[in-house]
Amino acid sequence: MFTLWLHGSYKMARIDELKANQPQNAGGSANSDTDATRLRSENARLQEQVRLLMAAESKLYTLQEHLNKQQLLYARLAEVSRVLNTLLSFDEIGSVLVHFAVYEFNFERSLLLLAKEREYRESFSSQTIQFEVVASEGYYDNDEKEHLSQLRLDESDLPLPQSTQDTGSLRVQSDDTDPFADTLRQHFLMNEFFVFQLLRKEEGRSGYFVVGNTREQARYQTRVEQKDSVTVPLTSLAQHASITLANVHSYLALERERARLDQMVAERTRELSEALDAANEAVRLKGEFLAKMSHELRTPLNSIVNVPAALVSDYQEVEVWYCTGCDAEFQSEDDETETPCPECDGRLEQRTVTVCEGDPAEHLRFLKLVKQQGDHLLHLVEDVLDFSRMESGRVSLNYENISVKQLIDDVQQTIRVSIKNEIRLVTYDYPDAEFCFSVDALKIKQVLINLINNSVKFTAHGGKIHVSAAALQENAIDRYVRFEVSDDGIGIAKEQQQIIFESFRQVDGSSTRAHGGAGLGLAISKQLVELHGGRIWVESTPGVGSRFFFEIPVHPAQRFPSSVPPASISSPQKRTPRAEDAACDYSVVVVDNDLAVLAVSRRILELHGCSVVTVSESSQAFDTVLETRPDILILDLHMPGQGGEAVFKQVRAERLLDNTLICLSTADHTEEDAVKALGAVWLPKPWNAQSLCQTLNTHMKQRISASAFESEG
Amino acid sequence: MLKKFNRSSKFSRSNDLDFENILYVEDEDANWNVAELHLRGKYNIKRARNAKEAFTMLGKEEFNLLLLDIQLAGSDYDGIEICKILRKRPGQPIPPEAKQLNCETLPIVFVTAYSERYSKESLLEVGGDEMVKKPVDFTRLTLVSSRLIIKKIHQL
Repeated sequence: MFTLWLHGSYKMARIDELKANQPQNAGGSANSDTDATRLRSENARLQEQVRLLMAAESKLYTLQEHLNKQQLLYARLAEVSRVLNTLLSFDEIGSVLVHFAVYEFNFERSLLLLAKEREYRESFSSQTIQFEVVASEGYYDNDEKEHLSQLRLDESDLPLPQSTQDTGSLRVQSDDTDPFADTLRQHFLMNEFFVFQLLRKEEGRSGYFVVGNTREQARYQTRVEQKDSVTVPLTSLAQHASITLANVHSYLALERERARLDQMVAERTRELSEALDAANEAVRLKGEFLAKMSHELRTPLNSIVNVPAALVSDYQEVEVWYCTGCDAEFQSEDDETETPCPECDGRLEQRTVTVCEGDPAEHLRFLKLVKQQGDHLLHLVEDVLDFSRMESGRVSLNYENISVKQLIDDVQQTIRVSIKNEIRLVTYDYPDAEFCFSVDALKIKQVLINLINNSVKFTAHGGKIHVSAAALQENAIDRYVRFEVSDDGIGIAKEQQQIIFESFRQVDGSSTRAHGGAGLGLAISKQLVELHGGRIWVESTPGVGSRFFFEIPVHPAQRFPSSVPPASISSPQKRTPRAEDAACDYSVVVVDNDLAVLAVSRRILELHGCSVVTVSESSQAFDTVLETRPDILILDLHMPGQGGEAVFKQVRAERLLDNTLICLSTADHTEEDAVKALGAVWLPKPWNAQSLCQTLNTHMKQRISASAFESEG
Repeated sequence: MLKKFNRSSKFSRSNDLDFENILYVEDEDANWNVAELHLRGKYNIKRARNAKEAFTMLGKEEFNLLLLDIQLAGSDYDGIEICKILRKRPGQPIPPEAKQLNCETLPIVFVTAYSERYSKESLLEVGGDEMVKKPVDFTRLTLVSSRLIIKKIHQL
């Protein structure tokens, strides 16, 4: 406006000047020559002035037009900005931008390059940002379009000053000979162009906006040389586009995040509902398990509770007179007491005798039944406890060295006892008999016995069961022992093979009752094998038979030369040739406040050749022990007064009793770890003859071999 | 007056008495032996191992009471189904060997270790008269049996 006003006032001034000169020309007629000359020159001057005036006028007009155009352009710019603000995709913004650049600024071509999406970039794990063409205008040739779609530029390809804080721009003119300019000409397929930088990296998706021409052609009014008139609005446009692109970027990122969250929520919901289903199924299985377990426990209890009640009624206590001389017994109908013995005239005294009115054969039968049902109940309870201990991860392994042969021999002993009534052939095969490895032998035996019992259940009388063990070498380091128990029984269907090792799946009363156990054998076995770092699996064909396998890894540190451990084990083993009546001839002190426990343990231990001293008062325990210096001391953990632990500490403190093996006994199986932590032998109640002797033997053996080792060393 | 005392047992078992007939359907030997031990002096107790045997025996002679175990290994029908068959419950198909039976009023006592799974109500629902849990309280079983037998006699 200022320029316009300036030109306007200039024009007015010239006209005033012309008006002022007019009378001068009219009045000068005296000297015609000079006048003519003067007039001519005046005329020429006037003409020159008119020409100037015309030129000024025309220039003014051009300027006015230019200004109008500029005004229109800015109006369009504002309009475009408004449109851009409504757009929410990079492609749409790109199309508007390049379209506007070409049709409003009269450039031939325009391009928008944007950095590739971040996710896509990261998959190439490259740090440099690549740019690709998002929108183009003014390219009509298919080859050119193809070129654009393939175009990938790195940041380094575009030498824009990184320090430029605002939208940086680069101008390449048609006469530039810079090698960069030539490269870019080939990239953009333009001869002269502007490059505007959009956004910076940290603001989201950075990019470049390019406008330019292919040739210096007249019809393109806008030339790159026309610097300010183009760059100012273009820069403004580029800045505006930058902001819009940043907004779109944020919006899209937000959208993606929202979608991701939606998906996450959906996923979580699904996971939770699956977990809920699984939990419900577990609760159902546990409930079912509980109902079955209760049934299994009540069944043996029926005999245990009722048989003694019935048999007791067969006994009667009768008051009789007996002769102190000949021991003959008499019943008196009247309370006549002063009569001498009718047979030897000896003195008669009264005593109570117990008379059985039942059939002894029948009593024996029922006592056997109660014993068998009691054993069964104990087995059930032990299984359930074992299982729950393992479920809660409270089982630790006691590694000991054992040869394959000894392991299988022990299993063979146990099996022979427990299935002697079953007419089945169990065969054994162990080529690596002397191979020695370190495992919790009791637990591995338990797995083998479980598997054999399982096979027994599902094999008809007369069927065959085969047990084998082999040491296998997978490579130079990994060595393992593989056990196999195969049978020719009914087999297991494919879908059953997956679940038979699962907890709570396997309580089948009718089959377990005949063979003992809670039907948790396979679930327990799986846990025991996995505790050793091994694996267990089954291969089976229904109708043909099943093959159960399990593998126990042999850790290099635990491998021993095969000759040493069997030798150290075999010498004390000679004293106990048979496991089922494992003799142990030790001196034993048993301390328990329960007189029944004392009576039973005395009986069991004496039957097996031990000399036994029993103490019922814990306060007397230490003195008795010091006096007798027994091989073994069995202490009840929970006694009134001084508890087993206190006695234990007292005894351990006495050096004279260093050679005494101390066993702590309790029915509370949760105290196993505490007892072991004390360094005592864990002796869980209830114990029977076999388990007691086995435990004592095992620990005495260890003691003997340890002391032998010490004396050798 | 003194009489020589003889310690040797003098057990005698009277089987000829006019006891009530009881049929006990039980698959488990241990449970049967125990029941027989307790009830033999009070009832004339007989055993069926499964549904088929039970139907056959019920057809041959008259029983005053039926003791039913629920879980019967190796039986075509479990105790609950046997009860429904005897009571001719709609929806329960009746096997040929049970077609001729007329046991709608025979007192039935369920004897089961599945007390967690079956409530007394559910067992009365299918036609039972009583339920006795295992381990069996034989005093209670005897009382229950006598009550049911007497009740039936009174109804007749």
